[in-house]
Amino acid sequence: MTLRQNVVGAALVAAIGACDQQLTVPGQCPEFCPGGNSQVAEIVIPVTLDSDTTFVGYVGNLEVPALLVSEGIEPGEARAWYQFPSRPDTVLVDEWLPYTIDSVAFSFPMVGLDTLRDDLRLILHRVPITLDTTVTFEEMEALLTDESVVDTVALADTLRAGQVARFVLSGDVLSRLEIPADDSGFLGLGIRLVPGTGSGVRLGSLGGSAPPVWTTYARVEVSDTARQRQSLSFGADQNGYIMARPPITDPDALWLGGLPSARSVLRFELPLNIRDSALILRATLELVPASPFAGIPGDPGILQVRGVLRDLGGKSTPTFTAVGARELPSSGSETISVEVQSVVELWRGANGLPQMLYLNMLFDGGSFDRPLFRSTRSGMGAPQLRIDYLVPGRTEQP
Amino acid sequence: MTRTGVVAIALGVSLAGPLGAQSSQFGVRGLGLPSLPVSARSHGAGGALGFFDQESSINPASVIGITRPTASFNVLQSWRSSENPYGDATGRDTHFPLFFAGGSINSRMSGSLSASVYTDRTFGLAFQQPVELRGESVLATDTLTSKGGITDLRGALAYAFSPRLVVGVGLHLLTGINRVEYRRHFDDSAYAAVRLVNEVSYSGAGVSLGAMAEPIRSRLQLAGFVRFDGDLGVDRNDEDTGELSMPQTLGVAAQLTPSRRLILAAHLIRQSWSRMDQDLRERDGAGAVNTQAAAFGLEWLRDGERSGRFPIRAGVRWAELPFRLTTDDAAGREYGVSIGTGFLFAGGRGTFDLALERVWRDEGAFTERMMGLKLGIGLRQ
Repeated sequence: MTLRQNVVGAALVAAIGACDQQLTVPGQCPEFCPGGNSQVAEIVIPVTLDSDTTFVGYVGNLEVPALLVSEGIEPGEARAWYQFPSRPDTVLVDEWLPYTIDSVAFSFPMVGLDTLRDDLRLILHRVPITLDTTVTFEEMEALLTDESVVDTVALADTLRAGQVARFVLSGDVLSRLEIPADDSGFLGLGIRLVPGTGSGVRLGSLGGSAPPVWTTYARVEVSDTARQRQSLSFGADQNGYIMARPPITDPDALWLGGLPSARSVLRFELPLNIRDSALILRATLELVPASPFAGIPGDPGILQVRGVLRDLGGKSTPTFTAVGARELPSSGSETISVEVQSVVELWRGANGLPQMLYLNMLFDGGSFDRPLFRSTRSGMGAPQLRIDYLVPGRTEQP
Repeated sequence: MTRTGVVAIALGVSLAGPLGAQSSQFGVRGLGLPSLPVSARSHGAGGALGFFDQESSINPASVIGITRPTASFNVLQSWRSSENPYGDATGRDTHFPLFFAGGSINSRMSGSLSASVYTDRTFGLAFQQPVELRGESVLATDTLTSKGGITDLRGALAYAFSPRLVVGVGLHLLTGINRVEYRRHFDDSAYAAVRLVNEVSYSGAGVSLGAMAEPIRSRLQLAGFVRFDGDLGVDRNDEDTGELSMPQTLGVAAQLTPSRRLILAAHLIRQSWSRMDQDLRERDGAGAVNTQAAAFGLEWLRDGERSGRFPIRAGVRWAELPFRLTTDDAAGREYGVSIGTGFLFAGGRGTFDLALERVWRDEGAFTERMMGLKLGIGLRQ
C-alpha cells in the first residue's frame, strides 16, 4: 500500500461524502400517489344565527387616531379643532426676556387625504379655548365665521398621507393670532375645508401618530446676534372633530367606525372534518352592505378582520398577527370579500382559537367610512365564510 | 487495528441513524425498494458472492469466515436517470447501505452485528395538475418527498460442525422511520400553500437460518438460508395503524473455485412478498407480488498468493420488484451489471473495495437507469 493509494482512497471517500441529494422526478396520480390523490372542496358557512353583534364605544375623541375635516361629501360634513397649551410671554436667554413675534407656523401631520384632488384648501379659524368634545356640529359651525378666520392655506398637490403639511403665517395675519390676556396664552384653532370642495382630509391627532405643532418664531433684544432669534414650539394638547351626521345605527345590522367607534363580532362553526384534518387553501368573508358605501375615492377606508384570543363578546382581545384587510369602495352596494385564511387557520386543531371574527375599521374612529352590513337579523344577506380546503391523500401510506 | 477500535466501530454501527439505499421512483409504493445487504466486494461480483462473503449480511453461516475482530462500512453514491409518462429527470444521492462488525468467539464459532438497508423509501416527486376552484381552473403544483426506510439490524452466530459444514442463525430487528412531506402551492396567490409532514415508523423482528457446505474440498461450496419475519408494526405519527405481513425468504447459492485464481458464484433468492398484498390494498396501495432474484459473478485474483491485490470482479444480477406502481402493469424488474476491485492496506489490516454497477429498472412505461459506485472500507485487528 503506497501513500498514493491512501490519498486516492481518502479522496474518493471525501468526494462521495460531500455529494448532496437530488431526488425529484416528475410524476402523476394515481401511480405516484400512495394512499390516494388529494381532494379539494369548497364549503360556505353562514355566520351562526344571532351570534353577530355590534358593540359601540371603543374609541372616543381623546383616542381618535385622526381628525376628520370635510366639505360636501356623502359621509357628511366634518370640522376639527385643536387647543394648544399656554405660550409664555417671555423666553429664557440667560434671563427671561420678552420677545417680538416674527412669524408663526402650524405643522399638520396628514393621516389621509384625497389623492385624486390637487386643490384642497384648509381654513384656519380662531375658536374659544373653552371648546370641548361636547360641542355640537351646529355650535361649531356658529364659531367658524368669516370674523374668526385666521388664514386659508393650500395643501400642496405633492402632499401624501404620512407627510406633514406646514404653513407659515406672518405679517398682518399675525394680528389674528394674538392671544387675549384672559386666555393665558392658550390658543384654540378650528379647521374646515373651503366650502364646495367636495372632499375631505384626515389630520394628525393626540391619539394617533402625532398632533399638530404650533411654532412661534420670535426676536429677543440681546446683544449676541446669534441668540436674537428664538422659537417656541407646542404640540396640541386637546383635539376633536364633529360630524354633521351621526353614523347610521341599526340593531338589525352590523356597523363599524364612527365616533365613538363601533366594532362587530361574527361567530362561525367549522365542520369537524375541516377543523381536524383539512388544510385550508382560502377563506373569504363575504359581507353584504345594508346601505350604500360612502367614502372618499382617493382615501379609502380599510376594513380589518381579525381573530380573537378569547371570546369575551365585545371585550374579546383580537389577534394582531393574523389579519385580513380590505379597502372599502367609496360608493355602491357590492358585496365585500375579505381574505381571512390566516385567521381561520388559527381555529383549527385541538387548541384552536375561538371561531370568531372581529371586525373594525383601520384608524378606528378616524375614518370617513362607516359601513353598515347585513346581519342574521336582516332576513337575507347575512355574513358568510367561503372556504376552499384540501383533504390530503394519505401519501405516507406504505 | 486495536480491539478498542473495533469496538468503537461496532458502537458506531449500533448508533448509526437510518440507513438508505438508492432513491428511486420505484420506491414510492409499499415499503419501497428492497436492497441486497452485500459488501462492496460482493457487490462488484453482482452480489453473487454474498452468500459466502463474511462481511455481507445475507447468510448468517458466512460469518464463520471472520477469524479476527473486524469492522467495515459501505458508502454508495448513485447517479440516476428516470423516465415515466410524465417526464424525465436526473438525480443523485449518497447512502450508507451496510455497517458490519464481527469476530471469532472460539475456533468453531464466530459472531457479528450488522445494520443494513432492508427497504428504502427515499424519493421525491413533483407534479402539476389543474384544480377547479371557485369556478376557475387553477394550476396546482405538488411535491411529495419521502426519506427513510427500514433498517435490518442483525445479530448472527455461525458454528462450524466441521471444516466442511457450517450453520448459522441470525436474529433480526426491523426498524425505521419514513418521513413523508407533502406540499402544494397554487399559481394563484389567493390560495395558500399547504405543507403536511407525516412520520411512519416500522418495527418488527425475524430470524434467519443459514448453512454452508463444501462437498468438494476447495472446489465447490454450497449455501442456503431461510428467513422468517414476523408481522411488521406500522405507526403513523406514533399512532398504531396495524401490521403488515412480512415475506418469507429462501435463498440458495453455489460457489465454484476451478483454480486458485478464479471464483465463480451464483445465487437464487425467492421472497413471498404477496403475503402483504391484501394489507397494502386495504391501505389503498397497489399490493405486492412474490419476487425472485438471481445473480452470477466471478472474482479473478491477479496474484494467487495475494488475494487483496486488485482482484477483478464482475457480475450480473436480475431481480423482480415487489411493489408495483400500478395494478395494471406486471411487476417491475431490475437488471444490474457490475465490476469491482479492491486492495489491502495497513499491513493487511485494512481492506478497501470498490464496485461500480449499472442498473436498469422498468415497469411498463416507467424506466430508470442508474450508475452506482460503492466503496467498502474494513479494518481488522
